[in-house]
Amino acid sequence: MLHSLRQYAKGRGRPQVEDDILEQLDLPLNAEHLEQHVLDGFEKPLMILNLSRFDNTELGARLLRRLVDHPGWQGCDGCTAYHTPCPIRLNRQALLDVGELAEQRLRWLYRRISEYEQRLTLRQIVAQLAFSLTGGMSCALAKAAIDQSSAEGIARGTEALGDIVFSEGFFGYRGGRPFPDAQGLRAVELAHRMHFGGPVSPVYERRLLAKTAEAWPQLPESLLHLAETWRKSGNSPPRRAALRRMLLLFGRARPGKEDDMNAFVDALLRSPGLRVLDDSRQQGRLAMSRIEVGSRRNACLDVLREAFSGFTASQFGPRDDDLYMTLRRPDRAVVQPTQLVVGSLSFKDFDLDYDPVARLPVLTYRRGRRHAPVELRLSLPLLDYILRRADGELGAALDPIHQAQLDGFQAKLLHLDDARSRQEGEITLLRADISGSVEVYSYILDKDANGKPQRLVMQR
Amino acid sequence: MSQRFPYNDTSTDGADNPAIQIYGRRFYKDQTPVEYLAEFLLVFASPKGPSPDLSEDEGERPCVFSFSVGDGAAPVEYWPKDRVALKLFAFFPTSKLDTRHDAHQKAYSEALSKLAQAIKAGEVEKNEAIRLLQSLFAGFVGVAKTRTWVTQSFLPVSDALLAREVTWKHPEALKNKDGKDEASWEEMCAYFDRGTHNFMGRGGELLFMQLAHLFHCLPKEKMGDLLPAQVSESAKRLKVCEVRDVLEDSLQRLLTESIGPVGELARFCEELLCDYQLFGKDSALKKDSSNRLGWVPVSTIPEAALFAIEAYHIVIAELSPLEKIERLQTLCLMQVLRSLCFNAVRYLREAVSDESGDDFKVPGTQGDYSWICANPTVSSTHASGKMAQRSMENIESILYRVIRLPDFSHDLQKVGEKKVSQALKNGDDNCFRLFRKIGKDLGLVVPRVGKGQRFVLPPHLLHFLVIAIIEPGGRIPLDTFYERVFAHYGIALGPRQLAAALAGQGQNGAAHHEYAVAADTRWIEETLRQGDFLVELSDAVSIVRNPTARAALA
Repeated sequence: MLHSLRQYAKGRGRPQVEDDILEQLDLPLNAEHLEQHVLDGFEKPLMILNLSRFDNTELGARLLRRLVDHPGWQGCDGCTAYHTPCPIRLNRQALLDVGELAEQRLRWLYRRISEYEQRLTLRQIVAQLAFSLTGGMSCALAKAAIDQSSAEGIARGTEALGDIVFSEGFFGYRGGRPFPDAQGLRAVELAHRMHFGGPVSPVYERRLLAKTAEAWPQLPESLLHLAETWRKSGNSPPRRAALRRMLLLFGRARPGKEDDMNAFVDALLRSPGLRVLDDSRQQGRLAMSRIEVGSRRNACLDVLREAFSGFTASQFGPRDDDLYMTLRRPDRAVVQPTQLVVGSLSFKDFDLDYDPVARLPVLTYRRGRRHAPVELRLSLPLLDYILRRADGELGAALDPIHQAQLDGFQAKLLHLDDARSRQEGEITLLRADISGSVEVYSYILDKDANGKPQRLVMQR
Repeated sequence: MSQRFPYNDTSTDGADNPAIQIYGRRFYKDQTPVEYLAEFLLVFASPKGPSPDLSEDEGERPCVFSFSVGDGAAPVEYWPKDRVALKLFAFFPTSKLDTRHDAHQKAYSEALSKLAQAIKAGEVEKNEAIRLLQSLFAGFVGVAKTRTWVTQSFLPVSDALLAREVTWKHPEALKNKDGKDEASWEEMCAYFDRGTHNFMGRGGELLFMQLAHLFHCLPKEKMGDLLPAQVSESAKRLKVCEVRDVLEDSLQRLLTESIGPVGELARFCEELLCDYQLFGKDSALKKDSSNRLGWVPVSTIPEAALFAIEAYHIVIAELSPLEKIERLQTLCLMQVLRSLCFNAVRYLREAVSDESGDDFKVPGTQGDYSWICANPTVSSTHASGKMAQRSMENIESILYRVIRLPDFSHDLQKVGEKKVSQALKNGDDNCFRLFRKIGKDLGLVVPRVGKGQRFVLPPHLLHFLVIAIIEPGGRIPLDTFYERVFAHYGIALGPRQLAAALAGQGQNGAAHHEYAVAADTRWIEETLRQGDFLVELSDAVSIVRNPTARAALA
């Protein structure tokens, strides 16, 4: 397309068209303002839409319903094995039982994968869902497995179910162990690479091994026996991981235990900001109470201050709510205990908002109408980093991509007049003293009648 | 031999050094990366001109913050500041004890008390303020290592921190043959030496002269005529004088306004401590305080044009000032490497006849040489690692051969056999060993020690390439990006470039059919995506973009 348009435009004396097309392709899809996507300059206006900018995670999650409800399942009605414990039936039944919950969990999973790794195409998503429904098992194999089983009743299909259950196939596992054949599917490979299912905390581990009937999340009935079997072999780490994954996809919180479930999911997905982001997208606005918005905004700004100056939030005094931008060496080759402040803005002039076009939370500086608002879009990895750092977790490193975004934000803020409006000759220094607490020193460089610097006067 | 710029420069310094004869005066092995940029900016910001009569009046200083060097005929001098007083205040407390002289110690204590008088605060706060200032300046140290306090240099973030190289002759001072008063600062000043170029070894001067020559010779030309075809459309339309004006303006603002407070504080300290300048009050010696610029071969126009357009892209981007300085430093080092290769190939191409089979042509590059870079994480035994190793060997052999060409060595015959080998070794140190050293400092050549030296492209260099080669806000397809990188630097990344590079290695490299050209570019795409430079449109088509915005020019 680029090539053809380039040739077409050359004949019409418009060699710049390639830049314009590439710019169009970079725009996020905006259904309300379609005129943004129109390219003028030819006989007819051209509209260019980049479908890969379309967010297909929601659609992908909804597809599961279609797959599970498909009329093709009626072919199973005549099967003798079907009313006994066919593992494929049990798998599907579990998904029917949890209903919308599975859709929500899938949406979270796909959001996590596409924000952190790569965007999945709809075809890849469908392939993954279809594989996970049956786990690659055919009817003949299912019947054989039931016949060979020595258990009774519903338990006869349990072992086979353990191989093909949805929560295992989705991540490329089989009964707790990695299943290399499944990883030929791109989506399964990405999901596997993220290693979901790790231990969460001792409290949750203890609950994991408690009796399933009293356990804190409810599982659909068709999976209860399988969960019980896995729980009994509790000393096997792969089985425990498989159990956690099952709880992730199928576990419904008992009334009153929703917070526990949320914390569990956050920890298992290793993304504290995921649910907030997803709820905000569903509602079209920031899904937080006013107080939460204020405290999250302060958390963001604390982390930004640390990224800009190198001093953590605890080193500043409690009343200090200024965002300092300092002259900090980018090579970090030399420690700078004293830094010169080149600009400062108050925390109160920032807002945490939701951008409906980019569908992300944004941190905006919006004081005064003189300039366009300066924004920092909080994509999921950046949001997670900020929330983790605000909780005080060390060891969270910032990707180069996000470091570059923060540097760009700082450069834009420095260009604002408000950042630099200070008295002529005023010099502000930040220094971390021996106890680590940061003090702000302010001086004025006084000049004599000829304009030559004469003396340094301390301010406060 | 080579024509020189300034045109009437007939100095014979370095006539016995083949490296100087080829590349100009001069690239020196002991110059550290920071000092290339510091020296370049020092020459840019200092008053300069061909006239030996410098007007004493500050207001009439010629050619400050400019690339103009007069009419280009006479040799050019420049008058850099010493900043000894500032270095005394900032570096003396942390410098090594061996080379501290009593006169300096005394001067330092006096300086502190003078500063304390000029600070309006309580007693305790005065000391605090002095410590703060020292700590602030010490944070901007460029190179310290184990040097004497006066030879250490600042990071070139402000024009008030740009200083020439001054050495302290400690053994002579201790002997004190002239019987000077050991307690007096002025008398002991005689043992400071301003003429050494051990660390500020004229490399920055040479880079400056390349640009000055370009701007002097061809101001009305369009950049598009001087640059390779692959360069951006917007760059092609620029005139050389426009690039010069923007560069002068932006660099001046970078050095004076962006980091204003640091410059003001530095000037404040210097004013107060003016008694401790070098020969500050003695105007007769001021005339001896100039440095003479070296010379550059006139054939360096192509690489100077590339240097200019890349510097242009960096200074017009909306980056923080310190980040711009860091990118400019990388650019200076890459330009040194590029100049070494460009010039070497130029001379070899003239001198070597067709019978050897080398025609030194690599289509797609401006300089007719190539650097095949491997993924930094693969080992040297991998196929691409081997190709990169061969490429490195090829470049080193080019640099080795060029100083042994008869054109340069017949001059040496006059000075005798032993001196010939000495001169050649000196030349080697400043040619291929310099290339190796700078390559390793940049991260372009790994490993630092051990065998298997090869070219790699670490992430920070790839990011630098995107920022320097694509104009701010610009977008180009990935294939065009590979072509442009190949044209600017000879760095072969894509499959076609690799094939051209291998073919061009000729006899020095292995025959190009020895290695199947398995160009795996996934590591490049991954690194570009990590830095937010790559936008994938589909499986086959990706776009490289420079995300920095264009800074609004005042």
